[in-house]
Amino acid sequence: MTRRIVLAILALSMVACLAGPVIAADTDEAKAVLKERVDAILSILRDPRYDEMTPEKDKEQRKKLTSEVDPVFDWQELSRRAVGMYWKKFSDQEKKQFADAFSELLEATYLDQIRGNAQGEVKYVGEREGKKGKVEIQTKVVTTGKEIPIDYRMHKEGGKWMVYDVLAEGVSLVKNYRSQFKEMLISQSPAQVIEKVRSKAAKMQESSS
Amino acid sequence: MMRTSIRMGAGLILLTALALALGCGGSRKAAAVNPDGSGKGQILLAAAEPHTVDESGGALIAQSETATQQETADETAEEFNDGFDDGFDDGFGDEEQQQQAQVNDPFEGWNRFWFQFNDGLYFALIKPVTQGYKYVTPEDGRVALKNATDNLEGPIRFINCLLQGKFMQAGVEFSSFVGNTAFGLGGLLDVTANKKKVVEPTDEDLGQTLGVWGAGHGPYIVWPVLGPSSVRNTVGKVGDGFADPANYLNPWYYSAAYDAGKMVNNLSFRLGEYQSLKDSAFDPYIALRNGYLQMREAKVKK
Repeated sequence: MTRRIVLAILALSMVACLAGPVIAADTDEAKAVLKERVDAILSILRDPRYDEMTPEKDKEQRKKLTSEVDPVFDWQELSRRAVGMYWKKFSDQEKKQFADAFSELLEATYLDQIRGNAQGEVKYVGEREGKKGKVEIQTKVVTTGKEIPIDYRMHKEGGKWMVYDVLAEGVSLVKNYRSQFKEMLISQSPAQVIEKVRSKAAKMQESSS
Repeated sequence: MMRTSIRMGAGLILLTALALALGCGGSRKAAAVNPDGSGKGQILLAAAEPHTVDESGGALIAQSETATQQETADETAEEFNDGFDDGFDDGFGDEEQQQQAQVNDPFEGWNRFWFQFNDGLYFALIKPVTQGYKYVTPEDGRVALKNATDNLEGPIRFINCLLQGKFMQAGVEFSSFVGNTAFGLGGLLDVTANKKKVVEPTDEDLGQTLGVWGAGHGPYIVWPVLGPSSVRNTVGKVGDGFADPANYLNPWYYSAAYDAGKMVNNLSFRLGEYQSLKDSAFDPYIALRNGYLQMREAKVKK
């Protein structure tokens, strides 16, 4: 009997040993995907070609950055989370329209932010695991006089690691928008909200270019 | 060298002028920036006197009633949809607090008024002054001043590390304070910045200590000039004030001048952050409230 228990414990611990590295590989994989993107973005930002900015060059840089940022973000999931429980009020078409508009708004906002911190050094300071295969990659952007912690929450969508939330100083972008959309959707229809997101995105793109 | 010192001097004069203007403006503790000098858009922060609540209490009740009704209706809707909402819990353990954090704003009428006021003050006075200061003061000078003010807050962080039972971190704070004060020209140089530490210190304050001890945020409050806070963090701020040497300056307007100067100097590294928060928000008031509460929650957990 005792032998059986010992054997069972041994077997279990072996499984545990196997499981450990497998889980670690998840965060490593996600981190590698993220790092590749961040490096690409930084090299575009620091490209000496853009030291002297003209409106055409600005547009070109923006386009390049967007093409690097876009593939790693899961806009559909991000939008679903940002809208929260009202998401089911949206028709399939509205969901798509919303995700498109919201992605434009966030890209404009995000690009504004990272351009301001282009000279910063990005440090990878840790990682965490959530439920259902979600991971959090923690980074720090270090510039003179300040350090901004930025955490990326990622999950696997269609076999690819994608970002579905960004936390700056512990503030989740998705939740911050959710608190606002919640208020808006109490009194407004999805179509009205989509329109507001669109005009906001257009305004952001205009003001930052 | 000559030019640098002239620019430094101009910066200091500008700072003092602003400090006196703010100090004479009425509030005794004119301005304080958050001790860690961090926080997106959180430029002006709490350290106000409790009696302000009494003065305004009467007017608040009427306004807050409608707000509360709306929030309650909201809450029920949330409860009703619990099953769906669960889908958003990604297991990082901050979902529940988030929902609590959102609803506790009984003073919304008062808060929105002061939010507007602070917003106006920021763009009309604080931002242009900080821009002027940033222009005339070399970066090295601003960094040195920030090191010095951060260092002076060392004792506050040290005490709060102890109160939270973070003894390793308390040790790091203690040795940094001693090291920088003794070998860094009284804190102007951060000589311990690149030393390997046993634990990486996170900025602790009494508001966080109270949170660690289990106190909730309490209602969200926006203070005139000082900006977003909560009941818990206001209490914390007042408590921390006792450990801040600047508050023992005599006469009182020296303290006010010190606080205003610290605020402008810290802000000079973060100009534009509030603007971008505001630009990207649909309702800047809600965005700032949510951001502030999320940030404080995250700090308590660190």
